[in-house]
This record gives sequence, C-alpha cells and structure tokens, in this order.
Amino acid sequence: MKRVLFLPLLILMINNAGLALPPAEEILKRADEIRAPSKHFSCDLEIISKRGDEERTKKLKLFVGDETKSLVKFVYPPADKGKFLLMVDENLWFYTIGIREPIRITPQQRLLGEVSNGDVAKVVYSVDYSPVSINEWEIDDKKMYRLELVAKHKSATYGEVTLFVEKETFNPYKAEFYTISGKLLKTAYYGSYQLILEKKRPTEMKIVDELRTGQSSIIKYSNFEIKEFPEYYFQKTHLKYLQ
Amino acid sequence: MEKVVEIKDIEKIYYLGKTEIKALQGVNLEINNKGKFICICGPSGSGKTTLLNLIGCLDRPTRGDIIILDMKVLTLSDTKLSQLRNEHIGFIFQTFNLIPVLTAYENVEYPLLIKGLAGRERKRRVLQMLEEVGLIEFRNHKPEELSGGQRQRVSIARALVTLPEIVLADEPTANLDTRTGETILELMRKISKEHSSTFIFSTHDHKILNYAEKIYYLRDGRISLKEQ
Amino acid sequence: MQKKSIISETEEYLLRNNKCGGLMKITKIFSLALRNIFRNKRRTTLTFFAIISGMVALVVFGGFVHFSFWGLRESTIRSQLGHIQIYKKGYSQEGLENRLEYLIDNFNKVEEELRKMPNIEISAPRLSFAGLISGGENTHTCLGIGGVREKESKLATFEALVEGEDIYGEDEAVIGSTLKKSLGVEIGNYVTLLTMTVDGSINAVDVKVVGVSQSGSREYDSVVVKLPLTTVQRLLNTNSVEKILLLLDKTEHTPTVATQLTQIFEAKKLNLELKKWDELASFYRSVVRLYTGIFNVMKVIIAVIVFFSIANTMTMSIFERTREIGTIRAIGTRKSTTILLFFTEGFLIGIIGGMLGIITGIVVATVINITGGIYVPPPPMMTQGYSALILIVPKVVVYSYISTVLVSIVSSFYPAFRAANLSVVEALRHS
Repeated sequence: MKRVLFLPLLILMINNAGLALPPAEEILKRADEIRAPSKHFSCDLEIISKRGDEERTKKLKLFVGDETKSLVKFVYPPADKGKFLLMVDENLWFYTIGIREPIRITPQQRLLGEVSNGDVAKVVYSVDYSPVSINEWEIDDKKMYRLELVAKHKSATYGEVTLFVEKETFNPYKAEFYTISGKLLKTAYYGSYQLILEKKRPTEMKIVDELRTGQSSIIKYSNFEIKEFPEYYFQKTHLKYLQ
Repeated sequence: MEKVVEIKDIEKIYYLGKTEIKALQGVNLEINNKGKFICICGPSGSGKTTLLNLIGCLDRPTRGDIIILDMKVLTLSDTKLSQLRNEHIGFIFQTFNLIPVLTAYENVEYPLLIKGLAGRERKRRVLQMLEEVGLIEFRNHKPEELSGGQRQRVSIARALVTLPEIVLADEPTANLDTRTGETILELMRKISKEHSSTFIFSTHDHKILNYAEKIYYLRDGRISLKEQ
Repeated sequence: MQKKSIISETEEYLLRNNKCGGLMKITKIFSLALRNIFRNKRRTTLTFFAIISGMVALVVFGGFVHFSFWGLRESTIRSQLGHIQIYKKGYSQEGLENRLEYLIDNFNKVEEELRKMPNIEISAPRLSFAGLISGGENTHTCLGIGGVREKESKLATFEALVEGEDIYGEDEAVIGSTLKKSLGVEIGNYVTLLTMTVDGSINAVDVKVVGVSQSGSREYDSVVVKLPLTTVQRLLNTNSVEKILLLLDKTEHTPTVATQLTQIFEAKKLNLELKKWDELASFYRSVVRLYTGIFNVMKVIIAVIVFFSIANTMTMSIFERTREIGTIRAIGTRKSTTILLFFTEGFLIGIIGGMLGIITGIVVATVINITGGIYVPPPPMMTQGYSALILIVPKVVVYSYISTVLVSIVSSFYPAFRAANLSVVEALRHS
C-alpha cells in the first residue's frame, strides 16, 4: 500500500516543471516507441536524393539489436553490394569487400544526399540524447510538445536536437538538428503514417539541408519485422563473413 | 709692321676674401715686330706672371683690352681661345710641365694632335723640332728619363711645334744650372730668329736680359719701359 | 717676309680646312687615357679590385639563384605538375568544389591526338582523391594519386625512393616518408583508403605499402599515396580520369605546345582546357619573386659601390694632375676634349675592370662547381638540403658587365666636367 502511494508522489516531486507537463523522458520514450517497433527489429530503407534533374537511389536493410546496436546492409545499387555499416556503443564502422578490417568512420559523414550515416543507423533518440526541457508548441494549428535534446556523448550524430511531437498521439512530427555550437544543420519531417505492427508509424522521413543548399532527401521505411538476430550480426570481427 | 701684341689700359684686380689686390694697373704694352726677345722683369709679386697669363689668353683682365695678332681676345669664346693658344702661342714653363706618361716625341706631338695635323706631316714636323733642339736620340724617352735641361728642350720643342708667332716663357732657366741655361738661351735665340717667333720672357736671369731687345719693368702693377 | 719653309702647300690647305681632326684623335685619346689609368698602379689595382669583387658577387649570386630556380622549377614540374595539365572544360573554375563532376571521360580519344604531337615525351593520366588512410592504429588524411606506373616514374625524376620499390601493381601503393612515420606502418603492411565515390557513396579499399618516397617537401610527403589508376578508378567507381599531365622534352617548348593543343581541342570539339605549369606553380613564382627582389637590391648596392669607387679614383687622379690639366689647357686643349680625356679614363676603367670582373666571376663559379658546389641546408617546407652549383647565365654576365660600364660612364662624368672647368691660371699655380 505504501509503495503504491509512493510512486505517484515521486513522480509529482520529480516533475518540477509544473504538474501540467508530463516528464520529458516519458514523451521521448513514447516518440521513440512509435519509430522503433521493438528493441530488436529489421526494416528496409530506400533513400532518394534529387539534384536538379538527377535522382539517385540507395536501398539498405537495417537490423537493430538491443536498441543500441545496428547493422546496415547496402542492397542497391549493385556497386554497393558487400558494404556494411555497423554501429555498436559509440563506434561506427564501415566495411566493404576487399578491405581486411572494418574502418572507423563518423556518423556525420553523408551516406547519400542529405542523409548521414547516423540518420540511418540510429533510429531512437533516447540512446544518444537526453532531454533538457519541454514546452508546448503549435505548428500549423496542431498542438505539439517541443523537446530540447542534448547529446549524451561524443559520437552522437548531432550536438543538439529539437524534437516536435504531437501532443495527443506522441507522433514525431519534426526534428531540428544542430551542431555543438548551435548551428542549424538539417531539419527532418516525419510523414506518411501507416499502420504497422499495431501502431501508426511514420514511413517517410524527409531531411532538408538548412545550412547551405536547402535541398532535401527522403528515407522511405518498409517491411518492418520484429525479430531477434544472432550476436554475430553486431560483431565487428564478423563483418567480413556476412553476406 | 704687324702688331703682334697690343695691351691697352689693363687692370687686374684679385680678391683675397674681402681685400682688393690690384695686380696690374693701367698697363699698356705694344709689341710690333716678330722675332724679338722681349723681357718683363720686376720683383716677385709685381704682376709679371699675371701679365704673361693675360697675353697668353689664360686669364681675363678686370678692365682693358687685349688684342693678339689683330684679334680681340676678349670677344672670343673659350673654344676659339683654345684654338688661338694652340696655333699662335707657345708656352714654356719654369717647371717644364711635360706630360709624364708621354715620351718626348709624344709630348712634342701633342699640340699638333689638337690642331688636327695629318699623320705624315705631323711626324715630319715633330722630328724636325726634336732635331732642332738636339734631342732626336731621346725621342722615345719619358720625361722621368731626361735631365732638367733635356726636359726644357722638349718643352721648347713643344712650344714651337705649331709655329706660333708668340712664345711666352715664365722663368725658363730658373730651374737649370748656369751652363744648361746658357745652352737653352742660345737655342731660343736661334729659333726665334729662324722662325720669327717673338719670345716674351718673365725673368731675373741677366743673360737673357742681355739679349733682350726690349725690357719692361713692372713694379706694383705698373709698367715702364727700359730700352736697351 | 719670312716664309716658313717647313709649311708645305698640302699643310697650308689642310690647316685652313681643319681636316683630319677628330677621328684620329680618338685612338690617341684612348691611348693617353689608358696610360693615365696605369700611372698609379696601386690605386688602379684597388679600383679594379672593387669592381671585380662586385662583378664576382653578381655573377656568383646570380648563378646560384638561377640554379635554385632551375632546380625548383624542374622539381616542381617533374614531381608534381608536369609541363602542361589537361582538364575537362570548366575544371579549373568549378572543379575545385566539385572535382569529381569534371572528369575526362574521353581519355582514349585525347591520347590519340597527343600521340600525334611532337615534343610530348609523356602523357600521364591521373585520378586523385582526398580521403582517409588508416594503418590500423591511426587514421590520417591522404591525397591519393592514381596514375599509370611507367609514366609516373618518368614524371617523378625529382622524387627519391627511400625504401622498398617504386613498382606498384594493382592494390599496391607508395606512400610519402612523413606519412609512413605518422601511420607507423612498414613495407608490406596493408593500409585502408577511405573516400567517396563519384556518386557520393562511401567506399574503401586496402592497398599494400610497397615503397616509401621522399620529394623534399614535407607537406607533400605527409599526405601522398601513389597507386595505380585502375585501383583509384575502382575506388571511385568511375572509368574517367581527372587530368592528363604532359611532360615535354624541353621546358622552353611549353608555350608553343600549349597553343597547338588549345587549337586542336577547339577543332576536334574535345571539350577540354589546359593550364601551363607556370600558371600552377604559385610557390615557384613567389620564390622567384623573392630572390629576384633580393638580387635587385644587391645589384643596386654593388652599382653604388662601383660608382663611388670610380668617382673617387677619378677625383683623386684629377687632383694630382691639376697642374698637368692647366698645362694641356694652356697649350690649346678645349674644355670638351678635356672632358673627353678624363671621361675616357673612367670609361676604360669600367670596360677593363668589368671584363676582369667577368672573367674572375666565371673562374670562381667554375671552381665552385668543380669542387662540388655550395651546400644549401633544407629551406622551409623542404626535408632535404642540396648542393647548389653556380649556373653561368649569359643574361646575368652580360647585364653585370653593361651596368658596370654604364656606372663607370655616369660616375666619371662629373669629375671630368670639373677638371675641364678648372681655372687654368690657378691650375698652373697648383702644387
């Protein structure tokens, strides 16, 4: 009985921003849950980048394990076959057929168009960012929560993220990505919500370059599967044996 | 009677700082004949050299006229004066004043080069002059290889090589011993007669004074004639 | 009426017309001037010494500088730039930002045209990339230069191979000495090269280090990786080349070949442009500017010294000959002739002193060269020193001589003028 009462009191005490707003961690967790169906899942990605008349496409497959580990397999174009990205803890590795050891790269490096390696390899925010504030916001007559996220460690893709989440549904709407010095690099828009695995989830993420070009690329998600993958999927030493 | 030299009412003033020095005052002189020996004597500082310089067109008077061989000297340009001296006036200096880097032959040749005489004629003239002064064997010697008397002979040959009407000699025997001086004097007399050149001397030497046809006396810038 | 029997009629005629005046005098003036110069042997020797020192300094320093230029020029051309570089049109303007968008895709056709031309020794296609190189422990930035090995070796005559072999087959590379040190790898080790393909995808390839090179430029040696063109093409996922480097038989042929090529490019619509090495070698150009500036300062200083040396000699000589000047003026030498006499002395000092100076300068230069040259410690940005020879450059020699003569003319004029304008009477009175 005492324990049952204790928890709500604790929550009330912790939330010193006012009883009106729910805790930021809670919101972030809910938003992340919409994007990632589980701690272990896989999905297909298609990245489309337009430059004037030219359109370039890449197809990848993402495997996520334990929420924190991800393996990205390059599927299309054929020239990219045999390439992998592996993200474990704070390290990002690249591997291609022909090199003996995976080589370390940075999540900020561009994969295609405006999409960085980190944008693909990392799906949930809570692993790399902690919320520092929460506000109410309105965009296009929609009521939002505005969360300010700060990188927990050096290998996060961005220094700061401002995430806008729909108030009722906790659907991620928009994210602004900043450098450590506070410069706005990119903006991501989540759209094309579809019913996938019992929830409405965004199947498109549009990323816009805010710093220089104003151009954008689109990531399309499909084929979500909840599945646990073997350990060796996420081992650096095993990359060369993967097909 | 040609007027060789005409000096009219000459005045020459020097300035030593602010002090005025009258070297010559109201000097008048006429030399009419050729082939004469004229002497100008007087104590040191009496203006002998100054007068000789004026006759030789080396200097300009403060006042007065100088007419050489019917030419008004004061109206002539420096170039014309140079030509006049070269062709009509010969200089014999007390200190010989030969050009040390030239041989006796070349020293004598020099005035002819200025005059512009052609090669063969020039050579003939130089050799003739050297022969007249008795130095033909020494023609390729430089002045440093010649005795005082020999140098003076070269100087005489040089002075006469252009066959000038006037020869100015400022104490020509002062740096020579008595015997050499006599020889030189004899030479000058002979040449004066043969070439009809008028020799004008400034001298103390009595031997010269003895030969002179006219003697002028300068004292404190004024001239007077002491006829022989 | 005494007739001057010595005067012949010819002479009379000549006298009146004053013929045969000036021309003969010139040889006499020269002869007189020459004798006067050597009158005071010690003073003349010292004057000549000053002139000779100045000349030797100019000839030797000028030769040293030109040797350095030559070395730097040829090393820049033969290890980095080539004589002419051919690019796709627009590369030099926009290619800096988007290198990989301006690649030459019709390389074979271009080679056909190049083969027809004389004066071209080698045409070397290249494809470069900037990327990362990792030796396992460390990752560094690198500049990968993909080329055809047989051609590259002819182009790299100013690079030294300090370890291993210069022969790199498929997936083998020669890296710069400084890079090798920072990576901590040895011959036989593998390194991974990481970069972006022409389509913007990330890609990597392993290569085996088979050789280590040293060019003398520390910056270059800390990033350069030389590997086969085919490997780079695979890494960048393209069949094109970025540029074609041309090595000519002689550097002097560069302008003519460049013009011919430009015409051919237009005529055959090959959509190419080219740049000559001097348009690309900014470091070389700034070195030339710097050293030329220093040399010019030297020339001025030496000219001033020679000027005063000669003027001093002349003035002293005139002072000593004051009485003589009076004498020659008295016996009819004109002012202008007097000026000419002394002026000729100064002029001859310049001519003779200059000639002696040139000869001495050439001798000194030859001696330096025979004994192995001057050792120069590594200049900034270089890793090696070198032995500089003294090039005997006709331009330098001639210029030095002419300026000495000119200086002698200018410096003797005023003293000569003053000599001619001395008061004759006072000059005769002098000492």
